[in-house]
Amino acid sequence: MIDNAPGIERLRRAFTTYEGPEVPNAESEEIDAERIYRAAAGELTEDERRAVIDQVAMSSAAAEVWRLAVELQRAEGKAVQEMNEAAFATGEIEATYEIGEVGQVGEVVPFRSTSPPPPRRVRYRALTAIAALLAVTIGFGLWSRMHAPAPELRGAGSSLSATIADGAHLPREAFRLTWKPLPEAGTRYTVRVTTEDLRLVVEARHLETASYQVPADRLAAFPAGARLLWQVEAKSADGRTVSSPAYAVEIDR
Amino acid sequence: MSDRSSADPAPTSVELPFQEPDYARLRNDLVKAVAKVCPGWLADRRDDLVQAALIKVMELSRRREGMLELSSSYLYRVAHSALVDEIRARRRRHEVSLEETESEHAATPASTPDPATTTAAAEVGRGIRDCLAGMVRDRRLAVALYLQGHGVPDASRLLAWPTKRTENLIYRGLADLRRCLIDKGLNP
Repeated sequence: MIDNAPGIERLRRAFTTYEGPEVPNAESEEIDAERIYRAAAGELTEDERRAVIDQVAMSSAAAEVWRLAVELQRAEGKAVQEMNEAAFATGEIEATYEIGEVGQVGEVVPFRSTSPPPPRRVRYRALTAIAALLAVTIGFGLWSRMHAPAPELRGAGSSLSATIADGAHLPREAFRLTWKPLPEAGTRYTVRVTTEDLRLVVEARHLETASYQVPADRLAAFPAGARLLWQVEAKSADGRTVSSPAYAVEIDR
Repeated sequence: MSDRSSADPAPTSVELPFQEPDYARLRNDLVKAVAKVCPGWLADRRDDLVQAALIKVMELSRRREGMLELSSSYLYRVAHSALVDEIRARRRRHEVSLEETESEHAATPASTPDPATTTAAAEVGRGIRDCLAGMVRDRRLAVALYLQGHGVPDASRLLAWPTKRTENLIYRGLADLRRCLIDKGLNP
């Protein structure tokens, strides 16, 4: 079979260690590292992938970029797998970071297992890695929700938008966020306020009115001039949801 | 509770720690990739190379756009680009350095194989590239992936061709390659 072809390792070594000069056509073609990475990940269209592989065949520099991509993708896959396994093993994520709260409103809740966890091996490093990944994942989830295009409720005829200016300055004692209410009866609103690096400052759910005043104690840790992001999400009585864009707001004093 | 507006229900709050990604892990993975993939003269400088790439990644990640996309795949993708940039820069400097101080360089590297082996491998490497250039395209693609270390199933997935077809292309392509190399006076 092919895998046992005589001399194949010698050919592979010669192919992968060759450092130019390139064959004439390969030299002139620009090497796009990002495109090669995506092709090696199996992304791009079939034709685009084949074009990249053709460049890899002809150019030793492109082949090296490809091999680096493959190595890093393997490493990333292993890192993610180990974090998953560590999360399953520790089972302490929920208690530490209260992600159950987020889960109730349909946010990203990674690494939950319904199967019995393996024996616990809690290590600081693993916890740190999990915390980082959780924060990133949940942060990304929050961001995705905050930046998702705002679909319109069928029948509502309008999207959800703020009635205070984007970038408004509000005093911390009267930090009231307001938005245009949707016409559907029974609509409930959820407001999320985060820092610019997506740490959640406060979340208020089941609001019946189109405004929410952030409690002053939630803002106590922030200096005057601190910039926060906020977004509101509406849920109609029949379960449909619509989200506003994310807005900035500054603490005035 | 008393200072809250009576119109507003008590908010459900979630405090989330935002921590940096595991850069130590990423660094370790970059070092391994460079050691495995890059030529000896570059691998000798891998700590320096990786550190420079990692700084770029951290700078990118700390910008707001980066913070919003700090998924694991994003991080490794950015790291790949940064690493490639650094390798290119070092390679350019290496080439200049070779031109300027060829005799000095020839005396220094300890990990380089003996000149005869290096020359023979370089000739075969060049021959392979020339032969691939003259090969039927589909065979070339399949053989290139195979020479890069991908097995048949992997090559089949990347090329989006059935396994059997991919295997045939590799088989025939390797036969073409060997013939071509022999015609060039090289021993495959």
